[in-house]
Amino acid sequence: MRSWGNPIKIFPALLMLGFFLVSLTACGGGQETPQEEEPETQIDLSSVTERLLTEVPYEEELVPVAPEVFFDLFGVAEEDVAEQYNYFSGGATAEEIVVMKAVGREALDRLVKAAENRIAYQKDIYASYAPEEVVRLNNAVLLTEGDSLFLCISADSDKAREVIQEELDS
Amino acid sequence: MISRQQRLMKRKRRTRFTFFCFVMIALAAFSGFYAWSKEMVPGEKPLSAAAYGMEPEDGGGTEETPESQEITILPGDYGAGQADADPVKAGLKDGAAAGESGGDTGETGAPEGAGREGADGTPEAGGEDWKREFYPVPASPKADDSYFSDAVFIGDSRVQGLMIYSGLTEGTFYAEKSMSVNDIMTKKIVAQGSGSKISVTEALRKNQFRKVYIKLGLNELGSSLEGIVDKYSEIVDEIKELEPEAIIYVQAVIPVTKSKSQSSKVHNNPRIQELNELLKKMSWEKGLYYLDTYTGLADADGCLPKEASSDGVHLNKTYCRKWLEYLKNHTVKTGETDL
Repeated sequence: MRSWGNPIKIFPALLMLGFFLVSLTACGGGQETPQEEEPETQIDLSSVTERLLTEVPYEEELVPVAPEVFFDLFGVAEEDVAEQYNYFSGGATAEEIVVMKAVGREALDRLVKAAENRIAYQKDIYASYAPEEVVRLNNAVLLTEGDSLFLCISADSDKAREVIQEELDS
Repeated sequence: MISRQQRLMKRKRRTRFTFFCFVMIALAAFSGFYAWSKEMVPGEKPLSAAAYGMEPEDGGGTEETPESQEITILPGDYGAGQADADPVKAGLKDGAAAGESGGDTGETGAPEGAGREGADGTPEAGGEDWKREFYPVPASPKADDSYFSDAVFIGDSRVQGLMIYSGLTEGTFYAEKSMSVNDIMTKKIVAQGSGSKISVTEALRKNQFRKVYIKLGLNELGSSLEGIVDKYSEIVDEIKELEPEAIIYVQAVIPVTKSKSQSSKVHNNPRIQELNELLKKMSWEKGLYYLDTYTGLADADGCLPKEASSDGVHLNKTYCRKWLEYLKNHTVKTGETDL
C-alpha cells in the first residue's frame, strides 16, 4: 500500500498552499477596488429632494411632472440626465425643485446652463405678469456638487441652501 | 374506330378541362371569402347618425352633409344615457346639460331662435340644427385620458397649470405663462429638446392633431374685447388651416375669485363674462365647439371658489382636476376615429 507520508509534515504544507492562494485572491480584489469606488457623488438625491419638499416652505403645492414634460419644461436633453427629481407649482408662483445627476462633466455644464436659462426666462415672463416672483427668482438656490445639480426656488432660499448643504456635508 | 392518337388528344382535353374547372372553383371560393371578410371588417363605413338614435332630416347617413360627415355624438348624449353623465352628480355644474342658467351667461348657451330639438323631440342632424346641439357642448358620457391622445391644448398659464396639476397622462400642451391672443402663435414656447423652442404655428405645421383645445383671453383683458375676439378669430382660422382634420374646442375664460374680481378693474368676472359672450358668438359663427368652462368651475355666485386658487386666478391642483373632469364630461367625437 502506498504511503502518503507523515501527516505532521503534510499539514503545514497544505496550510502554506492555502495561505498562498488566499494572498493571490486578495491581490486580485485590490486591483478592482479603485474602479468601484470612483470619487463620484454619493449623495442620495431622492433624500435631498424629499427634504427640500418637506422642510422648505412654499406658497403653492408642488407636484412632480412626467419626465418627458420635465425635459421640455426645463429645456434639457434626456440623454444628459442620469437621474432626476422635479416638483413644480401650477403657475401662480415660480416655485420649483429640480435635482438632477448628469451623465458626465460636460452634461452637467449643459444642465447648469439650462437651469440658468430657465431662471432668466421665468424672470422675463414674471416681470410683466407677477413681479413679486422675480424677487423669488433672484434668490433661487442653484448649486452643483460632483455631477449633481440642485435648484430650489422657494419662499425661503436660506432654508433651501441650508438643507442642501447639510445633505452634502453628510 | 378511335385511333390511339385521338384517345390521347381526348384525354389531354379532359385533363385541361378538369384543371380549368379546378382553377375556376378555387377563384370563386377565394373571391367569395374575400368579399365575406371585407364585410366583417369593423368600422369600414362611417357610422350614421341614425345609429345613435338620431334622425337626419333628409333621412340620409353621415355622408349627406359635410357637417354630419364630420361629427358624430356618443350614444347616450340625449335621453336615458344623459343621467349617467350628469355633471352635477359628478360634483360639477353645467348650465346647458343640467338646465341651469349658470351665472350671467344666460339661457342654454344656444343663440337666438336655436331649438334644441326637432318637432318630434328628436335632435335633428344636419345643417344648423345639428350645430345647435353642440352649442355649448352638452354633457357626454365621461371620456378617459385616451380621448386626449390626439389632442393639443393651446393657451396661457392656466393651461400650463392644467398640464402640471391635472394628472392627465395623454395629450400635448402648447402653453406658457402670460400668453395672449397677440403672441400665442408667434412666440417660441414649444420645446424641441436640448433647449431649442419653436412657435405654436411651426409646431402645428409639424404635427397633426384631431382635437384642438384653446383657452386664451385672460391676460389680454385690458384690451378692447372686440379686438381680442378679432385676433382670436384669426388664430382659429390659422389653426383650421394647419389642422384641417381637427375639431376645435373654444374654452370659456374661467372666472377669478370674488375678491380678485372685486379688486381688479381689468380681471373681473363681469368683464370675463362679457368676453365669453363674444367668444360664444364667434364659436357659433365659425362652427367651433364652445365649452362653458366658466359655469363648470364657478360657484353659486358665478365666481371661482376661494379655495380654488391662492392668487385668485390660477387654479390649484384640486380645481385643475375638476377642470379636466369637465372636459372629460363634455366631448364630441369624430365618428371614424373614436367610436
